[in-house]
Amino acid sequence: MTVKRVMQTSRWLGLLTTVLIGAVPALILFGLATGAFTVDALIAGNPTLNIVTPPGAGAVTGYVLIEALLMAVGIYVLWQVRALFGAYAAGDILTLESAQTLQRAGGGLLALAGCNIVATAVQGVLLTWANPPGQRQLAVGISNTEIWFLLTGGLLMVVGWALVEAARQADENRGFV
Amino acid sequence: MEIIVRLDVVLALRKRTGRDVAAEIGISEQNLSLLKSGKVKGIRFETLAKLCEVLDCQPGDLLEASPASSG
Repeated sequence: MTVKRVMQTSRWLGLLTTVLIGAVPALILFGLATGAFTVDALIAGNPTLNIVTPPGAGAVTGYVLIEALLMAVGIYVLWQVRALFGAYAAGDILTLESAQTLQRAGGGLLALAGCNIVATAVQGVLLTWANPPGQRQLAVGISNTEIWFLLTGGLLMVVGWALVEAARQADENRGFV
Repeated sequence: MEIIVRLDVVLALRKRTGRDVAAEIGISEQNLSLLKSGKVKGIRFETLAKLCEVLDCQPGDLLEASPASSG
C-alpha cells in the first residue's frame, strides 16, 4: 500500500517537476522580453544598493549571466528531483541509485545556497562598478532563502546517506528466503 | 567451510514437490528453487521452522556444513 502511494505521488510530482524545468528558463526569457533586466529595472530591484552612476552594458550582461548560472544550478537540482521521482514512480524505491540521486539533489541545493550568496555579492559589485571610486559596494549577506536551501540541502544529503544504508540492507534482505 | 542445502534430498525422501511445499509454507516456488540450489545468502529461522514442520525433519537434515571446495 505504501509503495503504491509512493509510486502514484511520485508520478504526479515528477510531472510537476518536468513543468518547472521548462518554466524556469521561460521565466528568465519572459523577464528579458518584458524589460526586467533593463538598467532602470535593475536599479529599482536593488533598493539597498547606492547606485550613483547607472551600470553599463557589460555590468548588465554580467548580471544576467549570473542569473542564468543560478538558473542552471536550479535546473540541475530539479533534474535530480525529477530523476528521483521517475525512479520512485517505476518502483525503484530502496535502491542505491535512488539514494545517490537524492544525495545529488541535496548537494545541488547546498551549491545553490552557496551560489546565491556569492551571486548576490558579485551582482552588487557589478551594479555599483560605475560609481565613483569609494562608492562601489560589496555586500555579503544570507537571507531566509539561503538558510532554507542550506537546511533542506543538508537534510536531503543526510537522508540520502541513510537511504544508501537502507538500500544496502534491503539488498541483503532480498538474498534471504 | 560452506553450507550445503539438502532440501532436494529431503523433498525426494518425503516424496514432496517443491511447488506443494512452497505453497504450504507461504513462499514463492522461485524462492524455494533458489534455496534448493543454494543460491541464497541465508534462510530465515521462520522459513526453516516451517520447512522442518512441513517436511517433519530437523534443521540438520536440511543443512550440512562441508569443507569449502577449491574451485
